[in-house]
Amino acid sequence: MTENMSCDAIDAVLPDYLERTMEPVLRQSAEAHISSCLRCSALVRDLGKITAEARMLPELVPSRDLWKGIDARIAAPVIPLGAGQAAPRTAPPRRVRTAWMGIAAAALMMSTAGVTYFLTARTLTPVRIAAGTAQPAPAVVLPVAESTIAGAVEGFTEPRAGESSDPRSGRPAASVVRPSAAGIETSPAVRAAPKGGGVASFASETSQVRDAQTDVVYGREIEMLQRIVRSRKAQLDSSTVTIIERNLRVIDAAIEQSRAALARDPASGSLSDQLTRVLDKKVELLRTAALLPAST
Amino acid sequence: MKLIHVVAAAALVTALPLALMAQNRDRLQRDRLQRDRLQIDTTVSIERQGSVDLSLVSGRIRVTGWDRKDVKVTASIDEGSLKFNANPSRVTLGVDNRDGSRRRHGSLGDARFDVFVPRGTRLILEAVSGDIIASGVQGEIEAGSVSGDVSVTGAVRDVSLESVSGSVHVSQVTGNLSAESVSGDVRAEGISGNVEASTVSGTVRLLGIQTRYVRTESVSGDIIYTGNIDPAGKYDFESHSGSLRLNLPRGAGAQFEVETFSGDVDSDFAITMQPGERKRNKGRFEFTIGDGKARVSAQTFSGRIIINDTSTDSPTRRD
Repeated sequence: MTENMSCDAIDAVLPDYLERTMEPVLRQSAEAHISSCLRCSALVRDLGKITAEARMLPELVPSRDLWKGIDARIAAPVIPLGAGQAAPRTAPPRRVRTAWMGIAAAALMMSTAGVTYFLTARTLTPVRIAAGTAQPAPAVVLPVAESTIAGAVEGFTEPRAGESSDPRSGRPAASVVRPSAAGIETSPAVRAAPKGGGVASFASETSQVRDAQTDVVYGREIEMLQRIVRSRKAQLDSSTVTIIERNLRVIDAAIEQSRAALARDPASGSLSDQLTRVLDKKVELLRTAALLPAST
Repeated sequence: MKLIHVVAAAALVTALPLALMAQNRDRLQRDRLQRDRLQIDTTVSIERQGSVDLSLVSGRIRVTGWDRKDVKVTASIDEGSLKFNANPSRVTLGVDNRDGSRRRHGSLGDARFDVFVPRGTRLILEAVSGDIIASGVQGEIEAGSVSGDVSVTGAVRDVSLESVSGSVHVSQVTGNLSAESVSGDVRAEGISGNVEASTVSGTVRLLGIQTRYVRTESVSGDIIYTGNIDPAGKYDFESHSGSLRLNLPRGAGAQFEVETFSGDVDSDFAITMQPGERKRNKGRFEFTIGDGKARVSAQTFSGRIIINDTSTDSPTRRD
């Protein structure tokens, strides 16, 4: 005899249900409810579908290995013994090393959590088959690795050897945002903005910073999606690939036009919005392509 | 000893036909199951507002609403097998490979699903390279195809339709519509409810729309809107290089924000600036028609923006 559960109760136990870690009796109750409830059965079905689609995605590898840098900082320094030193130096106070390790661990945790959040909350967000209403602009700003800039123009096309191009538009890499020691290095287009004093200059510089941040965020997202899409090219029908590539070129042309206009009028909020919209569209189409069923 | 031999012989004589009969029965059952997997023709009952979930790889899905309380399923597949399940609240039909693995395109033939459902049934329809047609269902519909066309007539509440390279055609919806395509056209007609429509390179045509909320966008495709302007409404039209054509009734009252970077703006309505309104910069206008209660935003980068008065024979009007 099983007690029928409510929809709220199902919501509460859903993770356990999906992970198959529920007690058999509880699971039986949950199954009884789910089989008779349209809302809950649809929910379980959708979550199952998302899980299945996520499994189809290739494994994502961080763009760089953080551990080497951390390891280099926390490893015990090798101190050469001087000729006149009869006895080895004592190790540094233990509390200092502990503090370093604590900082490193915190940094690692933050990096891991950030990357995990970024990948799960944004890249693996389930999308439906076709392109849809524009997703909101990404809100997380992360530094761009060199590899981001060397992405391919179109989703399915590998970059040619020795060619560095902007994954967002196909422009030469010389005109895209690069990371620098001081933070974000802006594109020549942005740097070419008229300089001046006063409020107008401040507004212009603010918009430049905003645009540069937009570049960074979209660049990273697009590069990551392009990698996934490239890896899936063989699984997709050639006519679908052709259509996706053709529409990516349409979007890239729009991005190029928006950038050129923005370069002439860097303070224009509407042009900046226009650029954001087409970048959104590109992300959306790449997500669609990344999640297309195989052999389509 | 003789008695034992007699009993053994009798048992053998009795058992042999029974074994043969059982074998024959099993073979007939296997044949029937195999035939059922290639072809289904059945009618099952379903609760009011239950859901029907149909998916295939290639072929066609056709669903028709009817006045009966049953779901009638007629389906066939050239190669592979059909997978059918039914309970009082949900009917599902999909396709499998013979080995049970799902959706390996190479080993599945075309499938054809013809399904009649009670009006009000919720539909979930998916195809990879197949067309989807639903008519008169008067329920919620969620339908998507990668390279096939999606066509829906007569639905309510929430309707979500998608295709990558196919077209999306929808008409007679009382409820909220979301219609999306990448390269195919989107055409929505006779919609009473919120409308969201988007494409990359296809054309968006919204005709006979009665709504308080429209949001459309494209990259290179044109957008055409023919419908009402509700005083409490909000209407957004955006395209990068496609043209925007808004066919509005004469009595419409709205505050417009129209912006194009390098395109033209044509309007049958007089663009008059009220105090406080302004032409902010080249290609950007804010102006009011009628009572100015609704909000209309039309933005392009290089596309033309045309605002027509439907009560006149405007030379620029086109549906």
